[in-house]
Amino acid sequence: MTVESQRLRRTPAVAAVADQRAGRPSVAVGRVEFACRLDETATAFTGWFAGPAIADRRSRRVAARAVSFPRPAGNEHPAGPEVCGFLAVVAGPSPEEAAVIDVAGRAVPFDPAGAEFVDVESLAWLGLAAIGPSERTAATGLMAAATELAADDFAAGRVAAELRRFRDALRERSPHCQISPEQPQGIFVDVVYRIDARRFYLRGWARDATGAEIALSAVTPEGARVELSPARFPRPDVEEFYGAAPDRRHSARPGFVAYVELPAGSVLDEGWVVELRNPAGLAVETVAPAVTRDAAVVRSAVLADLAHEIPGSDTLVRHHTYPALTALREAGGWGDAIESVTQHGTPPGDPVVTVIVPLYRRLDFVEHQLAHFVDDPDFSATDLIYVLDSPEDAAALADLAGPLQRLYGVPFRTVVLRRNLGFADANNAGASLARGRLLLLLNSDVVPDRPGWLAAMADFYDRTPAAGAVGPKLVYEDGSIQHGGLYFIRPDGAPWWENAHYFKGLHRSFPPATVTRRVPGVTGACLLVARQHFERIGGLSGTYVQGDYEDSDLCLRLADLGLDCWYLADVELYHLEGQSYPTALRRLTSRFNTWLHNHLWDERITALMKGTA
Amino acid sequence: MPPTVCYVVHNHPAVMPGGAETYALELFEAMRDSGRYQPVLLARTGPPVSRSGRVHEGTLLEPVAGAADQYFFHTDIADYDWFLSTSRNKDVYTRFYREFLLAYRPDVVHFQHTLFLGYDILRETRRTLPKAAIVYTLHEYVPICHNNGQMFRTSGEPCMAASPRRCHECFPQYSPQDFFLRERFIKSHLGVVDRFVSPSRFLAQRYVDWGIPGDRIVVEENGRRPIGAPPPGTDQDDDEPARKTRDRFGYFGQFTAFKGSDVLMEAMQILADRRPATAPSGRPSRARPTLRLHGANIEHQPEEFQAKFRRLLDAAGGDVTLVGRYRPAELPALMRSVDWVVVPSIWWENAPLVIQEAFAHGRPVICSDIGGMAEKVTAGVDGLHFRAGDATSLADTMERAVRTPGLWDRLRAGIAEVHPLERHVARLAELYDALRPVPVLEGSGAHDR
Repeated sequence: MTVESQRLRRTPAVAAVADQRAGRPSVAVGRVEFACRLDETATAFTGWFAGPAIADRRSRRVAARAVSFPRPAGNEHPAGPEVCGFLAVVAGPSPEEAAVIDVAGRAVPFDPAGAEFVDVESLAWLGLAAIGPSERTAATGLMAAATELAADDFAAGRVAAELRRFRDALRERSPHCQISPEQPQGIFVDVVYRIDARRFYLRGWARDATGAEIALSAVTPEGARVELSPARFPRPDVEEFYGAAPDRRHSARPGFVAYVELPAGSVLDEGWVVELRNPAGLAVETVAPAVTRDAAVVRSAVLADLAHEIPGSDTLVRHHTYPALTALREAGGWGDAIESVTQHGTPPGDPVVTVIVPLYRRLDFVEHQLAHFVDDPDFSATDLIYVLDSPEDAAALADLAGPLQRLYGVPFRTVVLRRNLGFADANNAGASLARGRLLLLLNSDVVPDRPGWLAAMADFYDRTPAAGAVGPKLVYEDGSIQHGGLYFIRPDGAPWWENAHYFKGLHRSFPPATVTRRVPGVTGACLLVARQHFERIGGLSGTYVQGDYEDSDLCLRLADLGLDCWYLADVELYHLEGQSYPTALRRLTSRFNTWLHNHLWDERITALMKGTA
Repeated sequence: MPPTVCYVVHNHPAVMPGGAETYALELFEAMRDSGRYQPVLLARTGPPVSRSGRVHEGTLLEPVAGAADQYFFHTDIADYDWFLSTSRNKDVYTRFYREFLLAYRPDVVHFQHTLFLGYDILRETRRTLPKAAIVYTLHEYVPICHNNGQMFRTSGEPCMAASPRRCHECFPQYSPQDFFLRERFIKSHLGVVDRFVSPSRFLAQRYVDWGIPGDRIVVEENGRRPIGAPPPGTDQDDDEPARKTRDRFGYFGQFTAFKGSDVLMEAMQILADRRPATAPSGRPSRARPTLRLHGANIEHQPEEFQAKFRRLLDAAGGDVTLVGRYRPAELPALMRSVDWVVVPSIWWENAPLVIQEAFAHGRPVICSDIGGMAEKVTAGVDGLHFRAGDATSLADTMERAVRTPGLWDRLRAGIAEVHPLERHVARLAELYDALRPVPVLEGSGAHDR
């Protein structure tokens, strides 16, 4: 060896490398200084290590997730300047015997007797003293992920409480925001909506007097930090508060809405922090109100926020409303929603058609339908299912069903749902119980004109090749047409498509409406489809809100399979479509549904309508 | 297949009776019976005429009592701009009305009234059916005059010519510029009309004075099918009992101030004042003239007029009887109960239905000496004139009518045949044909222009 190489041997890191090259097993230079138990769920360790990764096959190796950071200069460590500090989180309780913790590929020895067990605050202050802001963020983010390790919700809650204290002890805080016209920066969070443990939706306002592009980020109570990419909208009231001139109040967009997906679940309701930072680095932060969990409230609010969409833009609906509503639906799927199924009367032996009728509040329609079905011989062999989508009426329906069945003799099943699912999933729930090979989706406010309509529709379906869905002529109470087939229009040259019915309002005898023909779609108020096709395309789409476009969406998916929709002019039923003038919420749901429908189907509709022009 | 004509009217008589709408329905039925054109009727409805609003979402149409060729068209009055006569909600035209036109594709669209519908409906018709003939029957002066289409000044006298300044004087809340824009707006839309039909020369001339090209207006009287009229050719003296004096007067019509029922009652008052209470012999005076008032809607009139009306009615005692509302089927009997029909309107009138009905039942007419009335009733031939709005002049005329022997019979004999509906329909069909250069071919489809 030369004199130089002898000098190099002095540092432990070099020695370790030499050992490795020589094939000699040795342990990393480093150790765990502090440990902290996070309930039974996980254990956090801080310590230091030096040098490159070294293999050690002797001790039990424990996997960990870790972040490491160089020790700041001037903090002399006996092991030398290559030393790194670390924070590691191990699943489960702390090892009881000596082990080696895998810290990002480095094996750090852990001796239970030698490590000092502390609480989370001490872990932060002692183990992670003097680390920089981005390292603190990484550290709290790492700890926040520990909620994913929890065995159940209770454990997650206990862990989360610990994590909150850790976060509060460690994180880099910006000045607390003072809401005052004299302050250059202002931020306020109106609401934090929880969709599920990982997906949230925030609304508020944030403003910087310089008018510069501001960055918004949120920190969960457990310490995870996420950058927001919000949709911005005007808040003239905020601008007025800050003294903006009247003609400028509507041009600024301090309002924000943000849909976020977290890397790990957040379970605490209190403690969300949102920070505003401008390009110059000035930042303020504010504490958000407690999280709102009620799914119905969240859904309504997300829809109502559509009113903030800037005309001509779809940023809000595409990046925030749509993902939020889709996630809400996933979070509340219908699979477990069937409360009970009751058979009334003797079920038909081998039914060909299952008729599914969703009921919402108006139970009187049941009697009106049965009073027509009773004279129709088809109905003694039909699998009729009433799905109650307003569970509060369960007792009333139960009282009604038995006597009605005895009086009219038509057999049927009543299915009670646990909660209101909406048109699509109520039908899907009914379809999941169907016995027939054909499904007839029927609105409760549809009553037949003459017997034999169901057999006529089924017969037409069976003898028409490539039939996907069949719909009859539906007529209002005054004899004018409510539906003569469904098609798509661009209202007044708008860039989106909407649904329309042929011949609406015209007399039922209007000659073109007496022609059976292929159509782009048929209404869901009375729609016959083979069960195999229905199941293959996944039933009705539940992402639309409050019953809109599910029927055209279904027809377009059938078209994707190469199947046609047919309007059957010879069959007429009455559809007593309620007179419902649009409320503000209904207009917004309609806007969302229209956006979603176009988002999914614009190209296909354009092709379809070109063909029928 | 005969070609199609769509009749558009502002109201359907089933909802509320009225002259123009009654005529429109009769025309529709007669055209259908003639087989020359296949008609479809579109009648606007909604507040304030009917109580109920739109019934179904996504359409403004509602079939009339199950008929396959008559529709109500529901519009919302809150959207209606009364000054310009247009709907602020343009969807009414560009979506709902257009859909209806595209469904029926009429060869002719014949408008009777566009009150509550606005004038854009003409524009939409031309836009959607570039090849259709557009015909417009003028029943009043709404395009010219903001005062209920009467051409009557708010200060109380008839108006001979509209102008921005004069209209502003009648309605100070609207500036002359507002009236200028109104005129230009309406004329712009009337510009798409191929032919205007006017039931009187008087009205036609007013429109020509206003600026409608003379060759665009044709004068054609409204045909009527009066109920219970004796068939043409019957001797009208059958069933007509001879009477010594012809002193029974009748008024038929709504009790609006414009129609002058108060002038008539004042004239009756004057006549009563002229007579001594008892004859020199001590017995009561000879038979006094009587007046029977047939009509309705006094309760919809301004308070002041209602009060005046009641006052005059009370003062008249037994000479004036308020018969009130009547059904069309009752008209023949009611007509027979009077000798003279008085039309005392203080505004021009156009082609009052009541004059046609009176003539159809052999009743000479006493009317104001202005406008359409003076045109339809020829003094000394089939009726008498008095000075419009002048109760004394009317009283003198009524007295002359009662006292002149043989006058009633002479005037009754001078009544010309009422323009029969069948002939009116045939004339209109000819007009439609003339506006569509290619004659109707059996089984042909679209027509080129």
